[in-house]
Amino acid sequence: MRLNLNRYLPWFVFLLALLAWELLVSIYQIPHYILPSPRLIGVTLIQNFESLAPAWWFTVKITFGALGLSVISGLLLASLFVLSPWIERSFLPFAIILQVTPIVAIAPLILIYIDNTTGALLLCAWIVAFFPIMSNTVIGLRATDKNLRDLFRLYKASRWQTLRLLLMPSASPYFLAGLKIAGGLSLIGAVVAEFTAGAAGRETGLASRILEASFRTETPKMFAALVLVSLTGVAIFSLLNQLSVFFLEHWHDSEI
Amino acid sequence: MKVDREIILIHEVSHQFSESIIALQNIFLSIAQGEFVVFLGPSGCGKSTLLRIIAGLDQPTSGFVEHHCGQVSTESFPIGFVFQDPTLMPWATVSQNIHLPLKLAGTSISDSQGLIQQQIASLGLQGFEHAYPRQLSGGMKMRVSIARSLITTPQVLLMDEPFAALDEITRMRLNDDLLSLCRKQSFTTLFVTHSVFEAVSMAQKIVIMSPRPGRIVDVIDNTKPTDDPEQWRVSTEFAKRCAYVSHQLRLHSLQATSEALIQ
Repeated sequence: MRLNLNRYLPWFVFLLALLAWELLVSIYQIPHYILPSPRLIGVTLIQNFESLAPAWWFTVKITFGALGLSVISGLLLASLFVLSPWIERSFLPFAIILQVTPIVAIAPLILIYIDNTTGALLLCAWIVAFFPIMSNTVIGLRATDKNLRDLFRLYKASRWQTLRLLLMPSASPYFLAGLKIAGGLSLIGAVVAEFTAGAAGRETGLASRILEASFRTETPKMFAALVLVSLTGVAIFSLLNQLSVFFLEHWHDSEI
Repeated sequence: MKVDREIILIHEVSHQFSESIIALQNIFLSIAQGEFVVFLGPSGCGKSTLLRIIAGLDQPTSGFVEHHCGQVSTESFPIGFVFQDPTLMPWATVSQNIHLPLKLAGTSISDSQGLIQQQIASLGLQGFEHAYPRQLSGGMKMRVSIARSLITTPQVLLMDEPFAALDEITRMRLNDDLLSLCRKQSFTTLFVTHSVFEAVSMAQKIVIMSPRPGRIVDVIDNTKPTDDPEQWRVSTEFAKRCAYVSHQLRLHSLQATSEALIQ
């Protein structure tokens, strides 16, 4: 009984909040261009599905593209940094500068230099997403058990064996934690970059739909697009969460 | 049982961490094949450093260590090392952990099944083949660690305070099991400890070390009248030997302190 309550409680509270919202809007007769009711948002979402679906797909492509690039580059940079303190000292400042500069401030510049909108958006989302993967993986690689390293040395393990059998598994909890953060960030990066890019270009994503709708004061449509963005974020999070559970559930304290 | 063939020669080994810290000074020791040698001393006397140098994990500042392990087949590796912590891979099962040295030598786990099962049986790990380290007690983890070090049938087993973190009862049982493994498989054991009791109950030869600078101050022959560890532990001879070793240890550490004060 208690287990069931625990399980359904979040859904119950969520539905309650939606109901309160619905009631609030109808009691105070708030006009839909200020705050649409959840029901209207749902209806708008279905009615505009044909224009929203391709936009959603575009945003998803940018998000996962950036996430994929972040994984590859984050892992690569982390390995290089751990292999050579020289490389780390030379390139870490660049990584930090990229990380601390707000993406909204860099995005317009990137859009000037890169003609291809998709490429520019990918780059923006990547800048936001790669850092947590890289820095987490660096910590994970450094945190490898010193005695296990000695043991591998004693048995004359090759570099490749040490990487594959020791460094990668022991860094994986850190990497997966970074991946969870990067998943959300790459979606944020994709949306923010598109806001900056505006509605230009043929292929456009959810951010452009939101902008368009806001120009026309179509508030329900803004909310509908927003719902899709949020759902996508939640889906990415739970997907990466599953991935982390899959890899760590047998041995790491965080997922037991 | 004891064969007087030299297997390891530690020749004039000195090791310095910095100009002021001398970890080891002029260590000279010859170890015979099949011998059970215990290095006993207070912390900071360089016994762990000496073990790492013998294993080749650290290079001495001067002097050298000679191994006469003879021709070894590809399956076997001359040295096994057991750390103070079990040092298991938390992401791998008991079988996979034990298999590691063979895996690094290029033998697959299915080809190693026979050897793994043999180790699991001889260390009493049956039924835990597929358990992960976190599911095991401290003593069981240490058993896995020993099984892993023995799977290559090493001629020399180096142990760095392996049972220091275990409770008395577990420690005693592991002491006994280790002794019977040594007798059966006749490998040479170099065992570091700071427990007089453990040293006297296990060793054939006790090497007493003293800190600042780390050096060998005494080598005590610890021939046991019986092979039964339980019988040995309750004998009056055992109590006398413990008292003697304790006394020597204190004498030398007092000397070391006064020397340090004079300097």
